[in-house]
Amino acid sequence: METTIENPWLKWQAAFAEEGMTQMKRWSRLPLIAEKARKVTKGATPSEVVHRVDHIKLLHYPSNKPVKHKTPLLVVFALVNRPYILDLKEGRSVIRHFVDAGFDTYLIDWGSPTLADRYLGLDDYINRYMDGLVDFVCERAGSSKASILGYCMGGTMSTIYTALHRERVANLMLMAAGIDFSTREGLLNLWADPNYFDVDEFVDTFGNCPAEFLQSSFLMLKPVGNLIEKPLNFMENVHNDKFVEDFLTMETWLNDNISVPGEIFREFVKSLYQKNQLVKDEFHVRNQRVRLKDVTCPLLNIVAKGDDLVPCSQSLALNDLVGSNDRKTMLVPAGHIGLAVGGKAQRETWPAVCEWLAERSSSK
Amino acid sequence: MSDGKDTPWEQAAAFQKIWSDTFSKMTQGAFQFSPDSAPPEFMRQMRSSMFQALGKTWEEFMRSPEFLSSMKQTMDSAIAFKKMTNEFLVKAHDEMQGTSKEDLRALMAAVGRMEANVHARLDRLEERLDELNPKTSPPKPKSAKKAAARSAKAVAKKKVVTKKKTASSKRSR
Repeated sequence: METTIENPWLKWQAAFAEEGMTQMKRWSRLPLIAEKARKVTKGATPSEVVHRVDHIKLLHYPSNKPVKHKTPLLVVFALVNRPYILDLKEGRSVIRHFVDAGFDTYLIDWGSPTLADRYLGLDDYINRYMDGLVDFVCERAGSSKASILGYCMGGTMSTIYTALHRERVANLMLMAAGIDFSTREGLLNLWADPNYFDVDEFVDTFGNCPAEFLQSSFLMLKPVGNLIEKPLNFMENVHNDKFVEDFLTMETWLNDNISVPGEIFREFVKSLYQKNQLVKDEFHVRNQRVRLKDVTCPLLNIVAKGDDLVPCSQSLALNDLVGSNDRKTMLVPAGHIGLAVGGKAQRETWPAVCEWLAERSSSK
Repeated sequence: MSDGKDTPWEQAAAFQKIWSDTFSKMTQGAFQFSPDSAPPEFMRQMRSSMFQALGKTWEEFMRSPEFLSSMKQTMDSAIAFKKMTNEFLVKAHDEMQGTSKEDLRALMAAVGRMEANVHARLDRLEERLDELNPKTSPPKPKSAKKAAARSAKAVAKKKVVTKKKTASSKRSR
């Protein structure tokens, strides 16, 4: 019986040669990056601006298919970044799932606040803007109620809105919404500690919370991942067109920060991050007490297991605090952004969410 | 990096512990090597475990009182610097008989207070009207009343609706 002994050096030599060739490919693709970055588009699903209030735009997503459900869907994003993360690109769009499932879908684009908006607080955003937009959407759809999908800070705002205006909300869906801020799992909760962060002094001096401040805070949540691993990973895959396209689309969104109106930033940090008033039923929006028990509509709480911005425990608390009989939690193995654009979320979570909503929306 | 490390020596020892832990984790990662691993793959594995260890160390450091204190100091300095710049610019504008951002802020704050007063007054008037006319205006839930009022306000504020097909061209591309 003849046995062949493989020379390990040959294997190593081949691997080095292959790596050398790949490295050459990488270098050859580098000059094309700027051109590719210019081609990045924002938003994939056709939309039209149907309403404007101050700097806020309401986007409607018309569909070629007939609308199956009478209850319109209003998507509320955070004030921190741009909302097109929910409609990032073909195959990575939460909005597309709802439009294809026959929902009359609207999205609030909060716009970019100027210094003149520094005094806008939660009362303005919830009781004036959101309420006015829900009225507009309902009137347009011929429905007395709307379903709401809130993401991140938009989820917290949607919960407060629902508690204050329960007669206007048919179904409430939340994605990574911060509710119980007592947790110290997340670094943001720790950094917002009143012993280390004087939000009054900060807002009084800067006016609006600068976009650069927020961006650097988010980067610092995972400095090794964001500042070392990510660029290295990009360099390693620069010859892979699909990877580069996804990377540039995501980076365009990540770096497209906007400042947050000073007053609402102060309210969020002080009343929620520092005093955790929402879960204690002590939170007030212009003299109106927010009681989570007043949320009585069907509730779907979508939580990301690996979320470092809004840790699981911060969102999970809600289901025990609301007055809804019909409430469900969906735990998704993803991060804060992966919850919207991640492959698994796109394949499994969003079709299931559409199904959940369809069961609870009146048909046309 | 736990609480109560007040002396420089204790702080230095805590830092040393973090870094010695990191290097021991890195070394552990580096020695998970099998003879069959091709060098680039082996390097990637080693790098990955190094970054993992480094990430954990940083996370731990960013939770430490030392980091939080230095963060506070940085924030205080940034705020002090911004205040100083603001004051200087306000003075300069004032000297030149110009309008500074600070003047605009004061004006906006005054408008904001005025708006709040008007709202409060309207709310009181609404309640008094309801009390005067209980038969003609049946009681409504508070939030519904407010919604109706704000809806009217929103309609008044409504600007020209602009329709813009934004993404149709993108899709064809």
